[in-house]
Amino acid sequence: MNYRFVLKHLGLLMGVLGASVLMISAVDWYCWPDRTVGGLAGIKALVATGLLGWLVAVVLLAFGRRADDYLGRREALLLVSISWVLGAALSGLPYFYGLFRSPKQCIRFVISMHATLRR
Amino acid sequence: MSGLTTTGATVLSDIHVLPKSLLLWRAMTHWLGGLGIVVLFVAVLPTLGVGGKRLFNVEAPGPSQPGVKPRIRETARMLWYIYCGMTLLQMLALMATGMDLFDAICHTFATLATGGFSTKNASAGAYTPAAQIVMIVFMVLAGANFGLYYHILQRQFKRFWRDPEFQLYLGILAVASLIVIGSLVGHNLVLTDGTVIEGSIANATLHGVFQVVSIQTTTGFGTVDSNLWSFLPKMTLLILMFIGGCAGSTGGGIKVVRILVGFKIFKAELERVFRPNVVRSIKVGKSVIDPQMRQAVIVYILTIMLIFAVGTITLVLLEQGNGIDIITAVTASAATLHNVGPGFSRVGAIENYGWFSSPSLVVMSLLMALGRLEVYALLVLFVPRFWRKP
Repeated sequence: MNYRFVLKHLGLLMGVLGASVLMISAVDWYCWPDRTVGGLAGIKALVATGLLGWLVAVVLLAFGRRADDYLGRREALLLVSISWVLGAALSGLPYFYGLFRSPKQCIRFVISMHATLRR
Repeated sequence: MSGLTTTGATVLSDIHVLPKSLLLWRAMTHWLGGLGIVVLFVAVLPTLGVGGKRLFNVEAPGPSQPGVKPRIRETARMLWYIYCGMTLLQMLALMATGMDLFDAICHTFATLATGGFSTKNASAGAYTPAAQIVMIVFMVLAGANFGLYYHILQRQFKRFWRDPEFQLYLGILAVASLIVIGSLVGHNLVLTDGTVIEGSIANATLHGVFQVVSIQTTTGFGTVDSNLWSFLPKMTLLILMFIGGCAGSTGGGIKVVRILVGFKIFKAELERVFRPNVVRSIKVGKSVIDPQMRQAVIVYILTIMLIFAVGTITLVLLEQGNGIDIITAVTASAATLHNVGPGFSRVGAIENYGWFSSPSLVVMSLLMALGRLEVYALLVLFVPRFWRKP
């Protein structure tokens, strides 16, 4: 399996998705300005998601930087299925981020998760 | 997952509270997922070469078909040009009906991707009949094979109209619409915003056709609360969920061409019962369906039915504490597997999926992914031999 090729293209995909999120936040900021707490939280969530998408993209591209261009049937299947899973995870992140508008809430969530897992 | 797979099932009960930025992103996930995120890659990346065809075939909905252009990259590009062109057209058409730019963009993305996310709690029911008619037209277009539009651009109108799958698709929409309209006339209709209107022929036609088109194309927009309808129209909609759109469209479901091939195989087998020595080729249009394709179609339909049954049973088991009824479980499983969105009972047109427990939401997310990737692309990852060296 040509994993490097798969990682490289997953990196490109995350880069494109990250750019799409940032583009949407820029369009929203200029076309439908909403400077209320909720509106700003939405923009922050999108920008954070876009930047995280780019960060993941950089990491994946670094892992797949010396990939050869062979794409077999198995690589195609792996690339497509993982693309959708990763894409869905990144697309859902803005809503998830919306849950933690303050660091306190985030810490509380981590503590309760930890407690649940230990139980 | 619901956005990207163009399912449009939501866990949010009050969409108005979301900021516009998130509503726009929600609609954008539909639009990106509609034609396929990897198909976009095939269109723009020169490095993929021959492998692009493999990627295209894995992601494109429906049985693998010959591309409309000799090179797969050109095919993918052409599909995206058509998709973008139709997006612009629908946006302008919706704005001409009085819809504002933001709603026009979001609803265009959701319609052409056959997604179904709306910016209003009342879904498409919050808009004028003119806007709903525009949505009906574009939902029908989105549920057809995008390759056919290339023939229109080439002025090959006969190839467009004579496509057997497209003909059957329009036929099913027409018959189902007649059944639903017939059942609605004379009965009061409850709109998605709670308003009750009388079931005149005009109202029954508009809302009946809208609901039929929305469900068969697997978009999932709603203008009326179909949960309150009688058995016959509800059963019609449930069957339409399974049929879905055409191969090569943005719609989900089993796909019209598979249903067509499945029926032809059934007819041939029926004849073989009383004429065992007759050998007839099975054709769709002018092309003969080879035995390998026949087998693939039958296995696909069986696999989808098996996954649907397993999904239903799992939801019943996981939600026993929540008092789930069988109609909710059946339609939730079907609506997520076929990327429709709304079902009936507690997941009906004005309900949402927010009351399901987290394990059930994971199961339904998996069903959405299986439906969008047509099962195999995801299931092969669980086959140990897939990971071994050939």
